[in-house]
Amino acid sequence: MNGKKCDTCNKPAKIHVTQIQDGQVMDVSLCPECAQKYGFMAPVAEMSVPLNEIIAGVHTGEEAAPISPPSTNESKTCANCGQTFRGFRDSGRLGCPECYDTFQEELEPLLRKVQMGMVHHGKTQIPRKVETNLIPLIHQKREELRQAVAEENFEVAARLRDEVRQLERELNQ
Amino acid sequence: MIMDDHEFLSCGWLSGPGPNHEIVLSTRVRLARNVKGFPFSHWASTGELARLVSSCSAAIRKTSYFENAEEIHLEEVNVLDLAFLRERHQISAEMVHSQNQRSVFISADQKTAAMVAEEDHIRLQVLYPGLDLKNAWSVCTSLDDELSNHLTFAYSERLGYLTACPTNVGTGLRCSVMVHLPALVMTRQIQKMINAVSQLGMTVRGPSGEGSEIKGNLFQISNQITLGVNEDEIIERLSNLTEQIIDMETKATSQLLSEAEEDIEDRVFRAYSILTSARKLNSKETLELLSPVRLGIRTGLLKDASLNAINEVFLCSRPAHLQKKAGREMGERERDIFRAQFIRDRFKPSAC
Ligand SMILES: [Zn+2]
Ligand SMILES: [Zn+2]
Repeated sequence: MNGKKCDTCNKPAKIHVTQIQDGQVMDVSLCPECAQKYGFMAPVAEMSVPLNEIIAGVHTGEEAAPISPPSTNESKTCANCGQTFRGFRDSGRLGCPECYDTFQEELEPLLRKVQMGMVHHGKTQIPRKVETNLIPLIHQKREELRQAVAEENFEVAARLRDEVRQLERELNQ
Repeated sequence: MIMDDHEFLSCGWLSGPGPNHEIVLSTRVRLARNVKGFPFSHWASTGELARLVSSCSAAIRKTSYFENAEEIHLEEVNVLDLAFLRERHQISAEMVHSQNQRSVFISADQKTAAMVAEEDHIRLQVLYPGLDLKNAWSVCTSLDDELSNHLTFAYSERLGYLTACPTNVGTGLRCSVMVHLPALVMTRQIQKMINAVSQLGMTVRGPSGEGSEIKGNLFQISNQITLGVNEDEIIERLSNLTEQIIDMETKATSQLLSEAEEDIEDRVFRAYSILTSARKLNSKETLELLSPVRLGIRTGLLKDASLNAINEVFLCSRPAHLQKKAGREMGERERDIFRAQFIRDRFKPSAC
Protein backbone atom coordinates (compact mmCIF):
# COMPACT_ATOMS: atom_id res chain seq x y z
CA MET A 1 0.00 0.00 0.00
CA ASN A 2 2.95 2.30 0.60
CA GLY A 3 3.72 4.88 -2.06
CA LYS A 4 0.38 4.47 -3.83
CA LYS A 5 -0.90 7.49 -5.69
CA CYS A 6 -4.39 8.92 -5.54
CA ASP A 7 -6.50 7.38 -8.34
CA THR A 8 -7.90 10.72 -9.39
CA CYS A 9 -5.20 13.35 -8.86
CA ASN A 10 -1.87 11.53 -8.33
CA LYS A 11 -1.13 13.03 -4.93
CA PRO A 12 0.00 10.49 -2.33
CA ALA A 13 -2.96 8.30 -1.40
CA LYS A 14 -3.84 8.04 2.25
CA ILE A 15 -7.20 6.33 2.09
CA HIS A 16 -7.91 2.96 0.58
CA VAL A 17 -11.54 2.19 0.15
CA THR A 18 -13.75 -0.36 -1.44
CA GLN A 19 -16.66 0.72 -3.57
CA ILE A 20 -19.15 -0.49 -6.14
CA GLN A 21 -18.85 0.83 -9.67
CA ASP A 22 -21.12 -0.47 -12.39
CA GLY A 23 -21.97 -3.41 -10.22
CA GLN A 24 -18.28 -4.19 -9.66
CA VAL A 25 -16.63 -3.98 -6.29
CA MET A 26 -13.36 -2.10 -6.66
CA ASP A 27 -10.54 -0.92 -4.48
CA VAL A 28 -9.79 2.76 -4.73
CA SER A 29 -6.87 4.74 -3.35
CA LEU A 30 -7.45 8.40 -2.65
CA CYS A 31 -5.70 11.39 -1.16
CA PRO A 32 -7.51 12.96 1.82
CA GLU A 33 -8.89 15.84 -0.31
CA CYS A 34 -10.39 13.54 -2.93
CA ALA A 35 -11.66 11.15 -0.30
CA GLN A 36 -13.53 14.02 1.23
CA LYS A 37 -14.73 15.24 -2.16
CA TYR A 38 -16.12 11.82 -3.07
CA GLY A 39 -17.73 11.32 0.27
CA PHE A 40 -15.53 8.67 1.82
CA MET A 41 -14.51 10.74 4.77
CA ALA A 42 -16.01 13.57 6.70
CA PRO A 43 -14.01 16.77 6.83
CA VAL A 44 -11.71 16.58 9.83
CA ALA A 45 -13.62 19.31 11.63
CA GLU A 46 -16.80 17.26 11.50
CA MET A 47 -15.19 14.10 12.76
CA SER A 48 -14.45 15.69 16.07
CA VAL A 49 -14.08 19.28 17.00
CA PRO A 50 -10.85 19.70 18.94
CA LEU A 51 -11.55 21.46 22.17
CA ASN A 52 -8.76 23.97 21.63
CA GLU A 53 -10.52 25.17 18.50
CA ILE A 54 -13.79 25.55 20.31
CA ILE A 55 -12.13 27.46 23.09
CA ALA A 56 -10.15 29.55 20.62
CA GLY A 57 -13.51 30.35 19.00
CA VAL A 58 -14.65 31.74 22.31
CA HIS A 59 -11.69 34.03 22.36
CA THR A 60 -12.22 35.44 18.89
CA GLY A 61 -15.93 35.69 19.55
CA GLU A 62 -16.76 33.61 16.47
CA GLU A 63 -20.45 32.78 16.42
CA ALA A 64 -20.61 33.99 19.98
CA ALA A 65 -23.68 35.82 21.14
CA PRO A 66 -23.21 39.46 20.10
CA ILE A 67 -25.07 40.75 23.14
CA SER A 68 -22.19 40.15 25.50
CA PRO A 69 -18.82 40.08 23.73
CA PRO A 70 -16.45 37.72 25.51
CA SER A 71 -14.28 39.38 28.04
CA THR A 72 -10.68 39.74 27.00
CA ASN A 73 -9.61 39.77 30.62
CA GLU A 74 -7.32 36.80 30.22
CA SER A 75 -5.60 37.31 33.53
CA LYS A 76 -8.84 37.03 35.49
CA THR A 77 -8.03 34.63 38.29
CA CYS A 78 -10.12 32.23 40.37
CA ALA A 79 -9.79 33.30 44.00
CA ASN A 80 -10.30 29.74 45.18
CA CYS A 81 -7.69 27.92 43.10
CA GLY A 82 -5.55 30.47 41.22
CA GLN A 83 -6.43 29.24 37.71
CA THR A 84 -6.59 32.06 35.14
CA PHE A 85 -8.84 32.31 32.10
CA ARG A 86 -5.73 32.19 29.92
CA GLY A 87 -4.68 29.01 31.72
CA PHE A 88 -8.07 27.52 30.96
CA ARG A 89 -7.86 28.55 27.32
CA ASP A 90 -4.44 26.93 26.96
CA SER A 91 -5.18 23.68 28.78
CA GLY A 92 -8.92 23.35 28.18
CA ARG A 93 -9.37 22.68 31.87
CA LEU A 94 -10.69 24.70 34.74
CA GLY A 95 -8.88 24.62 38.08
CA CYS A 96 -11.73 23.92 40.48
CA PRO A 97 -15.53 23.75 40.59
CA GLU A 98 -15.67 27.40 41.69
CA CYS A 99 -14.04 28.45 38.42
CA TYR A 100 -17.51 28.07 36.89
CA ASP A 101 -18.65 31.05 38.96
CA THR A 102 -15.43 33.03 38.51
CA PHE A 103 -15.48 32.68 34.73
CA GLN A 104 -19.24 32.56 34.28
CA GLU A 105 -19.23 35.44 31.82
CA GLU A 106 -16.25 34.12 29.83
CA LEU A 107 -17.62 30.57 29.68
CA GLU A 108 -21.07 31.55 28.51
CA PRO A 109 -20.26 31.82 24.76
CA LEU A 110 -18.46 28.46 24.90
CA LEU A 111 -21.40 26.77 26.60
CA ARG A 112 -23.81 28.32 24.13
CA LYS A 113 -21.74 26.93 21.30
CA VAL A 114 -21.09 23.37 22.45
CA GLN A 115 -24.08 22.72 24.69
CA MET A 116 -27.82 22.69 24.21
CA GLY A 117 -28.69 25.20 26.88
CA MET A 118 -27.30 27.01 29.84
CA VAL A 119 -29.17 25.17 32.55
CA HIS A 120 -28.80 21.63 33.85
CA HIS A 121 -31.82 19.40 33.24
CA GLY A 122 -30.48 16.08 34.43
CA LYS A 123 -30.01 14.16 37.63
CA THR A 124 -29.89 16.14 40.81
CA GLN A 125 -27.36 15.52 43.53
CA ILE A 126 -28.96 12.84 45.65
CA PRO A 127 -28.82 13.86 49.31
CA ARG A 128 -26.28 11.81 51.19
CA LYS A 129 -27.92 9.13 53.25
CA VAL A 130 -26.00 10.27 56.31
CA GLU A 131 -27.81 13.57 56.01
CA THR A 132 -31.01 11.91 57.04
CA ASN A 133 -29.15 11.42 60.32
CA LEU A 134 -28.15 15.07 60.42
CA ILE A 135 -30.71 16.15 62.96
CA PRO A 136 -29.62 13.78 65.75
CA LEU A 137 -26.02 14.69 64.90
CA ILE A 138 -26.78 18.40 65.25
CA HIS A 139 -28.50 17.74 68.59
CA GLN A 140 -25.47 15.82 69.77
CA LYS A 141 -23.03 18.55 68.67
CA ARG A 142 -25.21 21.21 70.34
CA GLU A 143 -25.09 19.26 73.58
CA GLU A 144 -21.27 19.00 73.33
CA LEU A 145 -21.15 22.72 72.59
CA ARG A 146 -23.20 23.54 75.70
CA GLN A 147 -20.87 21.39 77.75
CA ALA A 148 -17.72 22.99 76.27
CA VAL A 149 -19.06 26.46 77.04
CA ALA A 150 -19.94 25.39 80.58
CA GLU A 151 -16.40 24.12 81.03
CA GLU A 152 -15.06 27.34 79.52
CA ASN A 153 -13.29 25.24 76.90
CA PHE A 154 -13.61 27.98 74.29
CA GLU A 155 -11.33 26.55 71.67
CA VAL A 156 -13.40 23.39 71.45
CA ALA A 157 -16.59 25.43 71.66
CA ALA A 158 -15.58 27.55 68.68
CA ARG A 159 -14.87 24.46 66.60
CA LEU A 160 -18.17 22.85 67.61
CA ARG A 161 -20.08 26.03 66.82
CA ASP A 162 -18.59 26.03 63.30
CA GLU A 163 -19.44 22.37 62.86
CA VAL A 164 -23.02 22.93 63.93
CA ARG A 165 -23.33 25.83 61.48
CA GLN A 166 -21.90 23.74 58.70
CA LEU A 167 -24.30 20.87 59.46
CA GLU A 168 -27.24 23.26 59.52
CA ARG A 169 -26.20 24.67 56.18
CA GLU A 170 -26.02 21.17 54.74
CA LEU A 171 -29.43 20.38 56.16
CA ASN A 172 -30.93 23.44 54.48
CA GLN A 173 -29.37 22.77 51.10
CA MET B 1 -1.80 -7.74 37.28
CA ILE B 2 -2.50 -11.24 36.10
CA MET B 3 -5.02 -12.44 33.58
CA ASP B 4 -5.34 -16.10 32.84
CA ASP B 5 -6.17 -17.44 29.43
CA HIS B 6 -9.87 -17.82 30.17
CA GLU B 7 -10.29 -14.25 31.34
CA PHE B 8 -8.20 -13.14 28.43
CA LEU B 9 -10.67 -14.41 25.88
CA SER B 10 -13.86 -13.85 27.81
CA CYS B 11 -14.06 -10.12 27.66
CA GLY B 12 -17.63 -9.74 28.93
CA TRP B 13 -18.43 -6.58 27.04
CA LEU B 14 -17.30 -7.74 23.63
CA SER B 15 -18.24 -11.39 23.40
CA GLY B 16 -21.71 -12.69 24.10
CA PRO B 17 -24.58 -11.74 21.85
CA GLY B 18 -25.84 -8.29 22.80
CA PRO B 19 -28.88 -6.73 21.10
CA ASN B 20 -28.18 -5.90 17.43
CA HIS B 21 -24.71 -7.37 17.77
CA GLU B 22 -24.53 -7.99 14.01
CA ILE B 23 -23.81 -4.30 13.51
CA VAL B 24 -23.21 -2.86 16.98
CA LEU B 25 -20.12 -4.30 18.69
CA SER B 26 -20.40 -2.54 21.99
CA THR B 27 -22.06 0.16 24.06
CA ARG B 28 -20.25 2.41 26.48
CA VAL B 29 -21.67 4.76 29.10
CA ARG B 30 -19.36 7.06 31.03
CA LEU B 31 -20.15 9.41 33.89
CA ALA B 32 -17.78 12.18 35.12
CA ARG B 33 -17.88 13.21 38.77
CA ASN B 34 -15.76 15.45 40.97
CA VAL B 35 -15.62 15.69 44.73
CA LYS B 36 -16.72 18.93 46.32
CA GLY B 37 -14.00 20.98 48.00
CA PHE B 38 -11.08 19.79 45.87
CA PRO B 39 -9.42 21.33 42.81
CA PHE B 40 -9.72 19.26 39.61
CA SER B 41 -7.14 16.45 39.31
CA HIS B 42 -4.64 18.29 37.08
CA TRP B 43 -4.72 21.37 39.32
CA ALA B 44 -4.46 19.60 42.68
CA SER B 45 -1.23 19.55 44.68
CA THR B 46 0.41 16.21 45.42
CA GLY B 47 -1.01 16.29 48.95
CA GLU B 48 -4.53 17.19 47.80
CA LEU B 49 -4.41 14.50 45.14
CA ALA B 50 -3.35 11.89 47.70
CA ARG B 51 -6.24 12.80 50.04
CA LEU B 52 -8.64 12.90 47.12
CA VAL B 53 -7.56 9.51 45.78
CA SER B 54 -7.83 7.86 49.18
CA SER B 55 -11.36 9.14 49.81
CA CYS B 56 -12.50 8.27 46.28
CA SER B 57 -11.01 4.79 46.52
CA ALA B 58 -12.61 4.19 49.92
CA ALA B 59 -16.00 5.27 48.57
CA ILE B 60 -15.69 3.13 45.44
CA ARG B 61 -14.80 0.12 47.54
CA LYS B 62 -18.03 0.57 49.54
CA THR B 63 -20.23 0.16 46.46
CA SER B 64 -21.76 -3.20 45.61
CA TYR B 65 -20.04 -3.24 42.20
CA PHE B 66 -16.49 -2.94 43.48
CA GLU B 67 -16.66 -4.61 46.90
CA ASN B 68 -14.29 -7.35 45.84
CA ALA B 69 -12.68 -5.62 42.92
CA GLU B 70 -8.97 -5.22 42.64
CA GLU B 71 -7.69 -1.66 42.65
CA ILE B 72 -5.01 -1.31 40.01
CA HIS B 73 -2.53 1.43 40.88
CA LEU B 74 -1.29 2.61 37.52
CA GLU B 75 2.10 3.65 38.88
CA GLU B 76 2.76 0.00 39.71
CA VAL B 77 1.68 -1.29 36.31
CA ASN B 78 4.20 -1.97 33.53
CA VAL B 79 3.95 -0.41 30.09
CA LEU B 80 2.55 -3.56 28.50
CA ASP B 81 -0.27 -3.85 31.04
CA LEU B 82 -1.10 -0.16 30.57
CA ALA B 83 -1.45 -0.74 26.83
CA PHE B 84 -3.49 -3.88 27.54
CA LEU B 85 -5.95 -1.95 29.74
CA ARG B 86 -6.14 0.79 27.13
CA GLU B 87 -6.96 -1.70 24.37
CA ARG B 88 -9.82 -2.96 26.54
CA HIS B 89 -11.02 0.65 27.01
CA GLN B 90 -10.61 0.20 30.75
CA ILE B 91 -8.35 3.20 31.15
CA SER B 92 -8.31 6.41 29.14
CA ALA B 93 -5.55 7.56 26.81
CA GLU B 94 -4.73 10.24 29.35
CA MET B 95 -4.05 7.62 32.02
CA VAL B 96 -1.56 5.87 29.75
CA HIS B 97 0.43 9.09 29.46
CA SER B 98 0.52 9.94 33.14
CA GLN B 99 -0.02 7.43 35.94
CA ASN B 100 0.62 9.83 38.82
CA GLN B 101 -1.51 8.57 41.76
CA ARG B 102 -4.10 7.26 39.36
CA SER B 103 -5.91 4.00 39.76
CA VAL B 104 -8.71 1.98 38.24
CA PHE B 105 -11.22 -0.47 39.69
CA ILE B 106 -12.52 -3.16 37.36
CA SER B 107 -15.54 -5.29 38.23
CA ALA B 108 -15.30 -9.08 38.16
CA ASP B 109 -17.31 -9.31 34.92
CA GLN B 110 -15.02 -6.67 33.30
CA LYS B 111 -18.01 -4.59 32.30
CA THR B 112 -17.80 -1.86 34.91
CA ALA B 113 -14.80 0.31 35.70
CA ALA B 114 -14.13 3.29 37.94
CA MET B 115 -11.15 5.46 37.06
CA VAL B 116 -9.73 7.60 39.84
CA ALA B 117 -7.90 10.94 39.35
CA GLU B 118 -8.54 10.94 35.63
CA GLU B 119 -9.34 14.30 33.98
CA ASP B 120 -12.20 14.26 36.47
CA HIS B 121 -11.84 12.84 39.98
CA ILE B 122 -13.97 9.82 39.18
CA ARG B 123 -15.08 8.42 35.88
CA LEU B 124 -17.53 5.56 36.00
CA GLN B 125 -17.75 3.44 32.91
CA VAL B 126 -20.03 0.61 31.85
CA LEU B 127 -19.29 -1.40 28.70
CA TYR B 128 -21.89 -3.78 27.30
CA PRO B 129 -21.94 -5.95 24.22
CA GLY B 130 -24.30 -4.89 21.42
CA LEU B 131 -26.65 -1.92 21.54
CA ASP B 132 -27.71 -1.78 25.15
CA LEU B 133 -27.63 1.85 26.25
CA LYS B 134 -30.58 1.67 28.63
CA ASN B 135 -29.18 -1.23 30.65
CA ALA B 136 -25.67 0.20 30.70
CA TRP B 137 -27.07 3.53 31.91
CA SER B 138 -29.12 1.92 34.65
CA VAL B 139 -25.98 0.26 36.04
CA CYS B 140 -24.00 3.48 35.77
CA THR B 141 -26.63 5.63 37.47
CA SER B 142 -27.18 3.21 40.35
CA LEU B 143 -23.43 3.05 40.91
CA ASP B 144 -23.42 6.87 40.92
CA ASP B 145 -26.25 6.85 43.50
CA GLU B 146 -24.31 4.46 45.71
CA LEU B 147 -21.21 6.62 45.47
CA SER B 148 -23.14 9.75 46.37
CA ASN B 149 -23.93 8.13 49.71
CA HIS B 150 -20.24 8.33 50.53
CA LEU B 151 -19.04 11.40 48.63
CA THR B 152 -20.44 14.87 48.05
CA PHE B 153 -19.98 15.76 44.41
CA ALA B 154 -19.24 19.22 43.00
CA TYR B 155 -22.69 20.27 41.82
CA SER B 156 -24.46 23.52 41.07
CA GLU B 157 -28.18 24.12 40.66
CA ARG B 158 -27.53 26.06 37.49
CA LEU B 159 -24.92 23.89 35.74
CA GLY B 160 -25.39 20.48 37.34
CA TYR B 161 -22.32 18.30 37.86
CA LEU B 162 -19.17 20.41 37.52
CA THR B 163 -16.36 18.91 35.46
CA ALA B 164 -12.77 19.88 34.66
CA CYS B 165 -13.74 20.58 31.07
CA PRO B 166 -16.96 22.50 30.27
CA THR B 167 -17.69 20.07 27.42
CA ASN B 168 -18.77 17.54 30.08
CA VAL B 169 -20.60 19.83 32.49
CA GLY B 170 -24.24 19.19 33.40
CA THR B 171 -24.94 15.50 33.24
CA GLY B 172 -21.26 14.51 32.90
CA LEU B 173 -22.62 11.75 30.68
CA ARG B 174 -20.92 10.51 27.54
CA CYS B 175 -22.45 7.51 25.74
CA SER B 176 -21.07 5.80 22.71
CA VAL B 177 -21.68 2.86 20.45
CA MET B 178 -19.13 1.05 18.29
CA VAL B 179 -20.64 0.19 14.93
CA HIS B 180 -19.35 -1.81 11.97
CA LEU B 181 -20.57 -0.22 8.72
CA PRO B 182 -18.87 -1.87 5.74
CA ALA B 183 -21.90 -1.62 3.45
CA LEU B 184 -22.39 2.10 4.08
CA VAL B 185 -18.73 2.65 3.21
CA MET B 186 -18.89 0.51 0.07
CA THR B 187 -22.06 2.17 -1.18
CA ARG B 188 -20.63 5.65 -0.48
CA GLN B 189 -23.38 6.51 1.98
CA ILE B 190 -21.08 6.98 4.92
CA GLN B 191 -20.90 10.75 4.43
CA LYS B 192 -24.69 10.91 4.59
CA MET B 193 -24.58 9.06 7.88
CA ILE B 194 -21.88 11.33 9.29
CA ASN B 195 -23.80 14.45 8.26
CA ALA B 196 -26.96 13.16 9.91
CA VAL B 197 -25.03 12.35 13.07
CA SER B 198 -23.38 15.77 13.39
CA GLN B 199 -26.67 17.55 12.83
CA LEU B 200 -28.02 15.78 15.89
CA GLY B 201 -25.23 17.01 18.16
CA MET B 202 -23.37 13.70 18.03
CA THR B 203 -19.84 12.93 16.86
CA VAL B 204 -18.26 10.15 14.82
CA ARG B 205 -14.76 8.89 15.55
CA GLY B 206 -12.47 6.02 14.74
CA PRO B 207 -12.50 2.85 16.86
CA SER B 208 -9.95 4.07 19.41
CA GLY B 209 -11.71 7.29 20.30
CA GLU B 210 -10.54 10.84 20.02
CA GLY B 211 -8.28 11.56 17.07
CA SER B 212 -8.16 7.95 15.88
CA GLU B 213 -8.40 7.07 12.23
CA ILE B 214 -11.17 4.96 10.81
CA LYS B 215 -10.00 1.35 10.51
CA GLY B 216 -11.81 -1.79 9.51
CA ASN B 217 -15.00 0.22 8.86
CA LEU B 218 -15.46 0.62 12.61
CA PHE B 219 -17.00 3.86 13.84
CA GLN B 220 -17.66 5.19 17.29
CA ILE B 221 -20.71 7.41 17.65
CA SER B 222 -21.22 9.46 20.78
CA ASN B 223 -23.22 12.34 22.20
CA GLN B 224 -21.48 15.70 22.34
CA ILE B 225 -24.01 17.63 24.39
CA THR B 226 -24.10 17.19 28.17
CA LEU B 227 -25.83 20.37 29.35
CA GLY B 228 -29.45 21.32 28.73
CA VAL B 229 -30.64 17.76 28.13
CA ASN B 230 -31.33 15.08 30.69
CA GLU B 231 -29.74 11.65 30.80
CA ASP B 232 -32.78 9.80 29.48
CA GLU B 233 -32.95 12.11 26.47
CA ILE B 234 -29.25 11.55 25.74
CA ILE B 235 -29.71 7.77 25.96
CA GLU B 236 -32.91 7.84 23.92
CA ARG B 237 -31.48 10.03 21.16
CA LEU B 238 -28.37 7.93 20.73
CA SER B 239 -30.43 4.72 20.80
CA ASN B 240 -32.78 6.05 18.12
CA LEU B 241 -29.91 7.31 16.00
CA THR B 242 -28.11 3.98 16.26
CA GLU B 243 -31.26 2.15 15.22
CA GLN B 244 -31.50 4.40 12.16
CA ILE B 245 -27.87 3.66 11.32
CA ILE B 246 -28.51 -0.07 11.69
CA ASP B 247 -31.41 0.36 9.30
CA MET B 248 -29.25 2.26 6.79
CA GLU B 249 -26.49 -0.36 7.00
CA THR B 250 -29.00 -3.20 6.59
CA LYS B 251 -30.51 -1.57 3.49
CA ALA B 252 -27.06 -0.86 2.05
CA THR B 253 -26.17 -4.52 2.61
CA SER B 254 -29.23 -5.71 0.70
CA GLN B 255 -28.36 -3.29 -2.08
CA LEU B 256 -24.83 -4.69 -2.25
CA LEU B 257 -26.05 -8.25 -2.30
CA SER B 258 -28.62 -7.62 -5.00
CA GLU B 259 -26.26 -5.62 -7.21
CA ALA B 260 -23.02 -7.51 -6.75
CA GLU B 261 -23.42 -10.65 -4.70
CA GLU B 262 -20.60 -12.55 -6.43
CA ASP B 263 -18.19 -9.69 -5.92
CA ILE B 264 -19.04 -9.42 -2.25
CA GLU B 265 -18.79 -13.18 -1.87
CA ASP B 266 -15.42 -13.12 -3.60
CA ARG B 267 -14.15 -10.42 -1.26
CA VAL B 268 -15.44 -12.20 1.81
CA PHE B 269 -13.82 -15.52 0.94
CA ARG B 270 -10.56 -13.96 -0.23
CA ALA B 271 -10.29 -12.11 3.07
CA TYR B 272 -11.20 -15.24 5.01
CA SER B 273 -8.64 -17.37 3.27
CA ILE B 274 -5.85 -14.86 3.82
CA LEU B 275 -6.87 -14.47 7.46
CA THR B 276 -6.89 -18.22 8.05
CA SER B 277 -3.76 -19.11 6.13
CA ALA B 278 -1.38 -16.15 6.37
CA ARG B 279 1.83 -16.65 8.37
CA LYS B 280 2.32 -12.97 9.11
CA LEU B 281 -0.36 -10.37 9.73
CA ASN B 282 0.03 -6.80 10.91
CA SER B 283 -2.63 -4.92 12.93
CA LYS B 284 -3.88 -2.80 10.08
CA GLU B 285 -4.16 -5.64 7.58
CA THR B 286 -5.94 -7.75 10.20
CA LEU B 287 -8.61 -5.08 10.71
CA GLU B 288 -8.99 -4.69 6.97
CA LEU B 289 -9.48 -8.44 6.55
CA LEU B 290 -11.77 -8.82 9.54
CA SER B 291 -14.20 -6.27 8.13
CA PRO B 292 -15.29 -8.26 5.01
CA VAL B 293 -15.20 -11.50 7.03
CA ARG B 294 -17.54 -9.97 9.58
CA LEU B 295 -19.82 -8.82 6.75
CA GLY B 296 -19.70 -12.34 5.32
CA ILE B 297 -20.81 -13.89 8.60
CA ARG B 298 -23.53 -11.31 9.12
CA THR B 299 -25.01 -11.92 5.66
CA GLY B 300 -24.78 -15.69 5.96
CA LEU B 301 -22.32 -15.96 3.07
CA LEU B 302 -19.69 -17.34 5.42
CA LYS B 303 -20.80 -20.07 7.78
CA ASP B 304 -17.42 -21.28 9.05
CA ALA B 305 -16.97 -18.63 11.71
CA SER B 306 -19.07 -16.90 14.34
CA LEU B 307 -19.49 -13.21 15.09
CA ASN B 308 -18.27 -13.92 18.60
CA ALA B 309 -15.00 -15.26 17.30
CA ILE B 310 -14.59 -12.21 15.08
CA ASN B 311 -15.33 -9.79 17.90
CA GLU B 312 -12.77 -11.51 20.07
CA VAL B 313 -10.17 -11.39 17.34
CA PHE B 314 -10.86 -7.66 16.86
CA LEU B 315 -9.73 -7.13 20.43
CA CYS B 316 -7.27 -9.94 21.08
CA SER B 317 -5.19 -9.44 17.96
CA ARG B 318 -4.13 -6.00 19.15
CA PRO B 319 -0.46 -5.70 20.14
CA ALA B 320 -0.70 -5.65 23.95
CA HIS B 321 -3.26 -8.47 24.01
CA LEU B 322 -1.02 -10.66 21.86
CA GLN B 323 1.96 -10.05 24.12
CA LYS B 324 -0.13 -10.84 27.20
CA LYS B 325 -1.23 -14.05 25.54
CA ALA B 326 2.33 -14.94 24.60
CA GLY B 327 3.45 -14.05 28.11
CA ARG B 328 6.36 -12.01 26.84
CA GLU B 329 7.23 -8.80 25.08
CA MET B 330 7.53 -9.13 21.32
CA GLY B 331 8.86 -6.92 18.56
CA GLU B 332 6.69 -6.06 15.59
CA ARG B 333 7.88 -8.91 13.37
CA GLU B 334 7.46 -11.52 16.07
CA ARG B 335 4.04 -10.09 16.88
CA ASP B 336 2.89 -10.32 13.27
CA ILE B 337 3.89 -14.00 13.17
CA PHE B 338 2.24 -14.68 16.52
CA ARG B 339 -0.91 -12.81 15.43
CA ALA B 340 -1.27 -14.94 12.31
CA GLN B 341 -0.86 -18.09 14.42
CA PHE B 342 -3.39 -16.87 16.97
CA ILE B 343 -5.96 -16.11 14.27
CA ARG B 344 -5.42 -19.46 12.51
CA ASP B 345 -6.00 -21.23 15.84
CA ARG B 346 -9.06 -19.16 16.60
CA PHE B 347 -10.67 -19.99 13.26
CA LYS B 348 -9.88 -23.69 13.24
CA PRO B 349 -13.19 -25.41 12.43
CA SER B 350 -13.38 -26.90 15.94
CA ALA B 351 -12.65 -23.60 17.70
CA CYS B 352 -15.77 -21.76 16.55
ZN1 LIG C 1 -6.59 13.11 -4.96
ZN1 LIG D 1 -11.02 27.76 40.54
